[in-house]
Amino acid sequence: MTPRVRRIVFLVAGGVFAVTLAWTFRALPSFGHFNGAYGTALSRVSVPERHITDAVTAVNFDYRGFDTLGEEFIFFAAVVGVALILRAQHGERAEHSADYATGRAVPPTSDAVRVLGLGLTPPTVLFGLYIVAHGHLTPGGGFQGGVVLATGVLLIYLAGEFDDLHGLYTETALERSEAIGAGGFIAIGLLGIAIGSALLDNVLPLGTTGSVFSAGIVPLINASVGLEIAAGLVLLLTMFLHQTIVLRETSP
Amino acid sequence: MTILPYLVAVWLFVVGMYGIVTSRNLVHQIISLSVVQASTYVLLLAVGYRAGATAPVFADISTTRPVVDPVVQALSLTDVVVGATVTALLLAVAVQIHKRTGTLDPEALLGRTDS
Amino acid sequence: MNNLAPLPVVVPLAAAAFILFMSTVLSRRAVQLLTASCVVGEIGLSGTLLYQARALNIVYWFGGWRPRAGVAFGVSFTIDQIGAGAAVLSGVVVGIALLTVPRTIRTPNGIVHAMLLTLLAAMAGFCLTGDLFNMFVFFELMAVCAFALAAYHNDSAASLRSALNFAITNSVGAFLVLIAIAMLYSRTGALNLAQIGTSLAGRHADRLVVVALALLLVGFLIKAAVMPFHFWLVDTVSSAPIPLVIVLAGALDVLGVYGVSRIYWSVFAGTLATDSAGVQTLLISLGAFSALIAAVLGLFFESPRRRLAFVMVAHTGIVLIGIGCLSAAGVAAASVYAAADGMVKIALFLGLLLLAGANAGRRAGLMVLGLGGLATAGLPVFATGLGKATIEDAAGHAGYAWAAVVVVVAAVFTGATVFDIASASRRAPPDAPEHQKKSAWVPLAIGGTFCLAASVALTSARRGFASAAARFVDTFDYQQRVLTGTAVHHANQTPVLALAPRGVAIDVAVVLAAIAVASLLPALRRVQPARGIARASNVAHRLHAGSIGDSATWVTVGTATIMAVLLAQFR
Repeated sequence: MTPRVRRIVFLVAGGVFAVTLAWTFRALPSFGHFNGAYGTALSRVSVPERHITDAVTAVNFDYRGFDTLGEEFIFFAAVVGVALILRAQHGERAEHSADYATGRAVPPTSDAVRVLGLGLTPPTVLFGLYIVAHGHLTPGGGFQGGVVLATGVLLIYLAGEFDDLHGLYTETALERSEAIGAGGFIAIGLLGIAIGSALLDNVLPLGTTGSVFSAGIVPLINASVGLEIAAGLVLLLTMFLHQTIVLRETSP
Repeated sequence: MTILPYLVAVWLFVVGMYGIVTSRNLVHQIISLSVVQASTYVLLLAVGYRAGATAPVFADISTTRPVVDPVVQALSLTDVVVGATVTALLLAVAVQIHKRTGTLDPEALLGRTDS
Repeated sequence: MNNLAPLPVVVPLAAAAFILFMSTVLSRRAVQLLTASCVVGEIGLSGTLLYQARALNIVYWFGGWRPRAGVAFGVSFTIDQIGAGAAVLSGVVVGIALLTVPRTIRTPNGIVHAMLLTLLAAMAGFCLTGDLFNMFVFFELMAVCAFALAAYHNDSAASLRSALNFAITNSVGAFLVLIAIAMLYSRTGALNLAQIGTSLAGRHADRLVVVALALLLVGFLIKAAVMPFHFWLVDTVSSAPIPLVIVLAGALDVLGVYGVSRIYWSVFAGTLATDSAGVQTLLISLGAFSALIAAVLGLFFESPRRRLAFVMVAHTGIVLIGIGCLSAAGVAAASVYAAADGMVKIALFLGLLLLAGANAGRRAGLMVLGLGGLATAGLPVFATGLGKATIEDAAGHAGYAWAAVVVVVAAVFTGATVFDIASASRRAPPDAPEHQKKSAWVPLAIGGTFCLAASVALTSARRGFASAAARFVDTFDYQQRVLTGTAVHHANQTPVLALAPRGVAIDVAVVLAAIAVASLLPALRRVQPARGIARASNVAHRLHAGSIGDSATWVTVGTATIMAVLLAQFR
């Protein structure tokens, strides 16, 4: 279809779709008056039965933990997939960017940026660890905390140069951390099978509500997920930055 | 109007699809896909909202207080992760396409076949 | 609880993580061996579950969360024979795909193996689960693995573009599924398939339920690559690496139709039972449309892989016709046909791969394609013949005799396409060295033979398919088993899957017609085509050029149409 024809066809079909869906949505329970039994029941029992005060984490990592296992592996597969897609093509070579612009000194990053970036990194990492550790108490958890942790690492790149970042870790170490995070979730889940119950049963002692060391396996899973997300995101960042900064074509 | 949030979801979906259909830049197309996905977040969270209820975190409130539905929030979380990862994959493909062909225009990629 | 139930998902995922962890340490051979043993183990696990589910569905609650007062707290695996069978099929298909990896992939450090294992876990999870959101999660996991593998040839613009098309189209489908999940959740407050079904069953289906069904259908039919959602498949099959093409041909398409069937019978059958004719007509029409148009289009294109992609779309349409009859007989027929056809399609692609090699391999490839053509057209010896004939019967019994005619015509054209590919390759001069190492082509030839043999052997399982289908369509039994743990002995008739003499005659006639059409094709090509046909061919080529915008437009058109049609039926 030519772009013009495509646009017209879409406007017609999209219009029908939009109007029909909007009309159908009038049959949804009116906004603010949802009364599903599932959510209410879970909110009622998450504290007494599992000592988890954040009901969303309870749903994600305890009641419907298997969904989260799948979600974690979606992330895992995507990072591995990006590694597959961005791998060096035939005719490319990793080259240090310094020898590309000869005869011109690359200006160093300004001191203000360096200080700010490096100064912000430890609080960010600490905050990320805090979010990961307190996922079962307050909003947060492995996914959110992992992203904050990765941001902490990104700050180092922003404050300095890609080389500084690269000197901190190797890609292999990141891949291994990611694999440990992913496999860790499964290993914790298998504890349930080991004691004769089902996968992902909450088999560790539940502790006292409100303490960091409570809610059985949930903090452990959060830690595992946090590790995987942080490692995976840093790996993603590194791979994308590698593309633009380091890879140069050696043949046209 | 009590169905306004739902209408927002419909609008986001359709506008995102329009972006995908008429786009002349791959990165724009991929971000339009994210817009389509945003409509699912809005719908899920709007469905679970309860008027006069608070966040489903009982750290400082009693468990008998009405809270909004935590299940849809958990579903949205999964949705966000899925969306971010698919976007990352698609952007990686876009990077390679640009390196290979020098263009990000979907129209310029038509008709090429391997076999 | 049955301890094996989660393992078909957990074992491959753990293996994938392990392979990534040890990627710099293990040799290629070690990775291949580890992956192969994991796949074999997976087939064993799913097979055991298949056996264990022969009397009662297996219900497994993750986290030990059993339902309370009819409200499902956790995620369940609800394993019946059709689901376990589909998981076994997925394992076999990935195993065969693994055979082709050493020859076609220069994979860095086992990444492709880890992806294949994750893909297998996702397929197994999709087939075994009893929870709607869990289905979505595994649906997306399958999709992500497949996208990444589709972009493997990252130095080819065509390959990358097809990966984008694949990803964007399938993602839109997934978002439609999610919208439907939100709609059903708002109405029933449940995510478990049995619970949603029970909650909906008491009441009349209003527009919310009907549109939710429409969106779920679209989402799964995009995955199944039924027309008009097939553009991504034609594009991807043309340029993706062979292991992914094999998985697509053997299992991934089938899983889309499986998804349609599963959600229909566990969720909607109760509430739509009195109005099912509307759904019947829609599904059968979509299937027939796909089968006929795709079968004809297969004749118009030149590239062998592209033509086989059209054969895939056409045959998925035939499976959809079988499911659309909304009867146990239809499900039984469609299952047999889908399983056997998956094997045959893999054999066809292996045959193409063999043809790209040298003389001894080429001869094997021609034989595989020739036999594959017979199987595609539905020779009664193959289970495809049995399936095709019983689908025609089921359609006839449901009052859609015209659909049976479409099945026959489609089979003639798809069979002809395969024969034509074989004969065109035979005439083309070989472009590979005279002598080729045996190890290059023998495993592929063995794989092709195995697939063809499997599609013959499946005929002996016909009673199993029939009884599995009878249980699959028993909505009340499914719901009771999940929510209360009890089993209800259904008084439904178990359908009889058999080839009547009339079916045999039609099958043989189809095969002969396919051979006749194929032999006429070279002559027809030399003749100047009529203006109308030439123009139609041009349009077809332009439509399938791989435009993502076009694909998205067709998805919108299809969605709007399906929504409108279903709503009109349920006024």
